Amino acid sequence: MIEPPVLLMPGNHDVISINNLVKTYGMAGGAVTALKGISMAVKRGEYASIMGQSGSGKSTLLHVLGCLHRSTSGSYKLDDVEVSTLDDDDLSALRNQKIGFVFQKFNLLPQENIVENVALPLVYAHVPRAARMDAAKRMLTLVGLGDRLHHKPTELSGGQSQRVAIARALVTEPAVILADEPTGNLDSRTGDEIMSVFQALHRMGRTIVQVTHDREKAEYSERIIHLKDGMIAEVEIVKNRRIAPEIQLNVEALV
Amino acid sequence: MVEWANGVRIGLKGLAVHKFRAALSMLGIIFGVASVVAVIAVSEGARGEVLKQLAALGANNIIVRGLDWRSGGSESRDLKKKARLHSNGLTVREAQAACDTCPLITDYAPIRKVQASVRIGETPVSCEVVGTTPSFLKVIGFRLREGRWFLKPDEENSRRVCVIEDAVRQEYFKLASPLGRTLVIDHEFYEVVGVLESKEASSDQKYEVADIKQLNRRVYIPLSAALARTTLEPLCDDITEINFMCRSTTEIRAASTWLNRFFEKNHNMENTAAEERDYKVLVAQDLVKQTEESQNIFNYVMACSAGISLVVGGIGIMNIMLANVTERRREIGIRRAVGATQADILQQFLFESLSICMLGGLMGCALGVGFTYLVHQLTQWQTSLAWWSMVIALMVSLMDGVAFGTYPAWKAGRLDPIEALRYE
Repeated sequence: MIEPPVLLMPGNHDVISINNLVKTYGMAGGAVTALKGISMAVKRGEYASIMGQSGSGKSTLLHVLGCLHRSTSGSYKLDDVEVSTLDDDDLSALRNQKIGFVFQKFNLLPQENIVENVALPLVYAHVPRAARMDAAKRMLTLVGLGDRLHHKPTELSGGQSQRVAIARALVTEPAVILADEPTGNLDSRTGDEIMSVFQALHRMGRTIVQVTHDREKAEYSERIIHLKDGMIAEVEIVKNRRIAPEIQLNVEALV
Repeated sequence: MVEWANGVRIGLKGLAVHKFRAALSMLGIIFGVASVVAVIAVSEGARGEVLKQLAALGANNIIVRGLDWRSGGSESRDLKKKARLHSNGLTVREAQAACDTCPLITDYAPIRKVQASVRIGETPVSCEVVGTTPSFLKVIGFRLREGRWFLKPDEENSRRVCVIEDAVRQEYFKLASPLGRTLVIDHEFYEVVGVLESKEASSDQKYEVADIKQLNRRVYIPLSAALARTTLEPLCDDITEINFMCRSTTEIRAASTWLNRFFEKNHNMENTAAEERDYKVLVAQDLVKQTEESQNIFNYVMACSAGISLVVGGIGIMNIMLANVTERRREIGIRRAVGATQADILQQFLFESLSICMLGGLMGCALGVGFTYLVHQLTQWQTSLAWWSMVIALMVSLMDGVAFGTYPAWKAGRLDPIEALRYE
């Protein structure tokens, strides 16, 4: 069952805590070390960005943070759960319960309508169908798509598709939202719109980590972690934070 | 594990994306199942036929049949003449002696077929006149529809009474009961005293065990009357057939051996080859077994070809499922990212192949019914659709789905989520 929404309060609790994380890919021509000992933490309610050039290891870091890959060594605690020792089924469960993904290419299932798409994570959380649909509808209403429940993803614009993806990321009430270039496939105006949604969610107390190579988009967050050659080059507190045009989320949909 | 209903829904939706492709890949299963259903229907029809005849002959009976020179042509006539050097053919006396001597035999009924013209008033009746004794009804297990069967006095006094088959009644006594009416058999008047229930008619002639159509067109008269009337027929002073009733089914074999020996001795034919003897010992069950054996060969051949087409169908399923998995890697990646386990993905694709197979199986059943109808129309064979053949066919096609869907589904489950997500 979906619990009634709690507006999470920022605090000192670390949602993500990694320590000396190393990720090596074994390849035919020898091993490639993508992450060379990274330590960082993301606090509850924080909005952080990870920046870096291609090859800097930011995608790998996101995959490890997203429990899609296991690290080679080092420790990773997600919401107090030590991830690095879990098996595949536990990682699946963790992705399901603790993480909401937002992808560059939206990654919606084209044959299903958007309610089904948003409800998808709850299928794997074994939520009964009626409750699933109900929660999905509420999330879609929250992001302003409450009137298009039965549209197929192909009938939506890019911005709308990304909102559906955000609704899907929110539906399990995850500990953290991981966004991989969330505006990469959108024009700048729609991109700003998505940033508005992120900032609104942040104000509601959501923890967000986004990966981007776009300085401008990174400046919507509070903190930027710069990666270079698989290591943290710099952690920057954003001084002149960009504030996206205020967007009114239908918060009452949550109640 | 995701609940069943959702699994089936997702599976069917996956199919709907490529309807034509799914239909093509189902063809193997469809034809496999259809042939299983049709083959079983044909062989069940044949079996039903044989069982009907078994019932008509009496399951526990041993038949000793004399040479019938009328139907056998000149060759059999010569044979009979030759046999007459040794014996006088089957007689009631030896039947009685056999029954008295052998403890395995509890009763017997001789019959004598008579060639005679039969009329009702001036209307000729097409039928076979058969003389028999009061024991016949019990021995052969026929049932009376109305009236009575022969009694002892009928036999002892050669009374002119007759019992007719239901088919004869239906044809010649449409309006009123035949009881008390008169049949003219070779210028003598016989009173109808009873009507037998009709035997289930066989519509084809490929089984020679019993000619049920012929059975259904009989008119029975007391044996004594039949013998009194027909002794003038040359070479035919004997009786046509004796039905011996066995004490129990398990002793039929022993009883038939005993009877063979008995008649061999009685007819002085110990040194005569089996095909030159003037009698044949027939066990109803043996005859049925023979037809069943030839049926079985046909069944094996058809079962093999059905099996092969199901395997071929399964390979078709595997092929399509592998293509499916490759094509839908991105979907798999998405599902994995939002929390599907490997088992969830495996289950999803397994459901999909099961859906294909189940659908193919159902279509195959429908097609099989069509085939069966066609076979029946074209060949006039008796067919009987068996519900269990459809259940078996559906189970086999489900097994096909599991057997050939597991590998692609396992492959789908094993996909690395990130690799899968990268797929364009």
